[in-house]
Amino acid sequence: MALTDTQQPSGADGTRELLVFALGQEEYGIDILKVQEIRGYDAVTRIAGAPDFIKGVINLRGHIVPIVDLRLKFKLGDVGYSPFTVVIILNIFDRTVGVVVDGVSDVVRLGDDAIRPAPDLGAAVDTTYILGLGTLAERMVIVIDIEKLMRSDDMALIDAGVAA
Amino acid sequence: MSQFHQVFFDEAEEHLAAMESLLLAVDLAAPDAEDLNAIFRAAHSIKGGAATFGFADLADFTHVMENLLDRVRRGELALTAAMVDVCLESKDALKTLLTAHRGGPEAEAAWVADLRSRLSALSRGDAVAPAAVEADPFVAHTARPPSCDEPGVLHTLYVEIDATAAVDMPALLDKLGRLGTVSLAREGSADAPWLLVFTSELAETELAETLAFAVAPGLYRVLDGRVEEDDGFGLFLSAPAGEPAATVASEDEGFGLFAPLPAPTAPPASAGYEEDGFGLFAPLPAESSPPDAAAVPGPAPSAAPASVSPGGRERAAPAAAVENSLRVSTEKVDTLLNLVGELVITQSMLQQYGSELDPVLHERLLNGIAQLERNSRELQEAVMSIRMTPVASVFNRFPRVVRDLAAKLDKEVELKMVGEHTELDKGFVEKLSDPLTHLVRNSLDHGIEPPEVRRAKGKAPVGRLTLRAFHQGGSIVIEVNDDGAGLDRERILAKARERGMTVSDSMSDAEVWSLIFEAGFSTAAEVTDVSGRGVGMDVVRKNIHAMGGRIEIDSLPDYGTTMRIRLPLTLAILDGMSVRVGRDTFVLPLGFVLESLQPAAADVRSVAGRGRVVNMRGDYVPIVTLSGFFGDIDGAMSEPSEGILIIVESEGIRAAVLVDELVGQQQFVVKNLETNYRKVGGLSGATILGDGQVALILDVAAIVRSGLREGAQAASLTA
Repeated sequence: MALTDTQQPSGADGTRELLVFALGQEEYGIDILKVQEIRGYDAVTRIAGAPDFIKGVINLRGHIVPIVDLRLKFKLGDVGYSPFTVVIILNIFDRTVGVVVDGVSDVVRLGDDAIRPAPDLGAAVDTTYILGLGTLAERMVIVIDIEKLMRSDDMALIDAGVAA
Repeated sequence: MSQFHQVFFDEAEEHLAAMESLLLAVDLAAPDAEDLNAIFRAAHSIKGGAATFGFADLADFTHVMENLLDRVRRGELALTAAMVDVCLESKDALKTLLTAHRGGPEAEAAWVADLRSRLSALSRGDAVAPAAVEADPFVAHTARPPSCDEPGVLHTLYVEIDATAAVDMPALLDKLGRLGTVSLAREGSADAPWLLVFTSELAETELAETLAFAVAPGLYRVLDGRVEEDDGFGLFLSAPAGEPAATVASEDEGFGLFAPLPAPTAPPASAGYEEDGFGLFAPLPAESSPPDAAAVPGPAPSAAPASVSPGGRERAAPAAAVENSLRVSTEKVDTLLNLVGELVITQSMLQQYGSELDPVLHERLLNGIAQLERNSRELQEAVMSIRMTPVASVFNRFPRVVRDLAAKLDKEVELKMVGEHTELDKGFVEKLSDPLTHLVRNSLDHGIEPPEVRRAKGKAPVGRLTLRAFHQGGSIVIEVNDDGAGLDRERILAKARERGMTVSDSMSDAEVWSLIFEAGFSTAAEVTDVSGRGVGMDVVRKNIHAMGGRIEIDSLPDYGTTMRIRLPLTLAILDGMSVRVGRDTFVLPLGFVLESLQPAAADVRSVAGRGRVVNMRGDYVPIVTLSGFFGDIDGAMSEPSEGILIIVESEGIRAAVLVDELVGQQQFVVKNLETNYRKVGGLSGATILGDGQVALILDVAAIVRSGLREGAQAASLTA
């Protein structure tokens, strides 16, 4: 499907750099340019009344940043939190949002031709947000449009009026 | 009062700068109505401020200017190039007047008077003879001082070198000859210094610097000649270039050295000399003289001319002091504030680790940490204090405003100020003063009636004007309240129709009141010096919207009017009480907290499963649990008699919030949740605690309203 998606432009040389992280048994790739930093999970203040996958907010050098647990969002079974739990801080649509994942493996450069349209498979992430499947030696990376995903209504990250 | 003068000067400078850029950009063929309004408002604001602080000349001048601009703005006069020219020159004149009030040199009275008459001629619609300006080269010069640093402009400078100086004159002449044209006007002798005439692009300070390499300091000086440009310095014209010696002060006059120069010129020029010449000449003595000479400003300055120059230098001191306030963008301060917050958190982390160390072995490290703590706290306080100012700094200018205005309008008014210590963002303080001044002037002029009218209505002859500031539900509210006549619905509607607005009699009061915020809307029967041009209210609304706030009006005929400005709390610092509920920490704004208590089990009644109330000295107050409001909070207590009830009040309604524990009371920097997340009901923001944790700030008004729903029935049933 949307390989030409403008949300995630590929580099001039037809390749894109992806940050690869693990969620459950699957590996996902997101545009590295959307990533601000990677940090450990700590000191999250719960926002009472928020959905369970919104863990709360943290103080990121004076900014109040919400933390979304993608593992809870995609119902990937038991989740635990320790200082080694990885939070990817994203910079998307002029906001800063943190997402909790099972682990970050590496940064890879994939040519556009190495990314194939995704069949309607049973990945945890809704296919609407999947840009394609990338093959990397023996591994398969699911390339997702993180901005579209975070902006979606059921993430409940932004006010309806703002999202429009 | 002088502290507010500074604010007025700064504001006036800004208005003048804005006016100038608008005037320069205005399209004569099709002037933008909004630009014309803006130019007019700038003049109006300066007039208002000037009148407030008793700068009669400024107020008078701007009043004339404003008359012209008002007619242009209304389309009664077509904007012409002559008007723009005169307005620009008037802007220069205003600047000069302003400088005079800040301790600078006096303005040229004749010039100002001339401009004033030209302005009023224009506003009457007469043609104006601009020749009046050109006739006096000095005036032209004052309006547009030539820039000496402009490339390509040749300056003729006189260099005087003490005969006792051991100077290799031919070498010096050769050196200067490479920079420009140089000629030796007089040979040095025992009683007369060398005199060189030097023409080049160098300004005199640059020349002085060049000379410093060749001649010992104190043994030479550079005197400005005239600029070889048509509108040159004028003042030196009468001193023939061939006889520069005549204009040179004798040695023993020390620092009076520049004073004799203007003496041969016509008297009006001396003021101008002082104004512009001062800026050019002042740096020189310091540069070209040894320190010991600088300490002795002219042993025997000759009477009249000498008094000009030292006088000028004395005035330099206040002019320099003016610059001791620094305007910095709030963004920079915010960044600083965030960084300091981080520093404090890092420091408390270090302190925590340090406390685990053996104090004997690590004494010096621990001392260092203690020192760091003190320093970072002080730093934090200092940075916080940059942003926060008590609203008193806005309010304090009003006693004078009210007094003067009341006298002018023959009214008796008593001013009451409440909540002056409410702190608000510095940015707001600066932007609030204009709108508040307008509101106060409006209340006095249109709201409060003259004493005899008040008596006839059965009111006290002395009108009451109240300025009130307080925090409410995540906002800062500033009210201007008068007990005057109130707004006249019929007259506003009539005026609106007259102006061709679509209105109907069925509009609600609030809609009718909001009409007065339209540009150019005024119901005053006649335009007075105080208000009634209809400029105030649209500016007020504009300014307040720009701050992210809003303005509301409550008005009742013969009862009075309340103008309520509501500003967001962003970056305001909040006095709050931190409380623990379950494992979460929340902050309650202190302004809402009445008291806290630990109720006896018997005082808590539950009413038919609808909610609980607490008996507080005979009053039944509904109990609100945060779990009830937000959904479950882990480990939160549900039994009021085990926890603590905090009695809060918002909009006159009380509720008791059940918390597990009181943690402490301190100031919090309010952060917006919506920047990266979204609005959450019941929360007005977030803050960062000393340990780096985020705590959420409760929106007491929303909580009380929910308590009302939950517990009101219960309370009424019990009572």
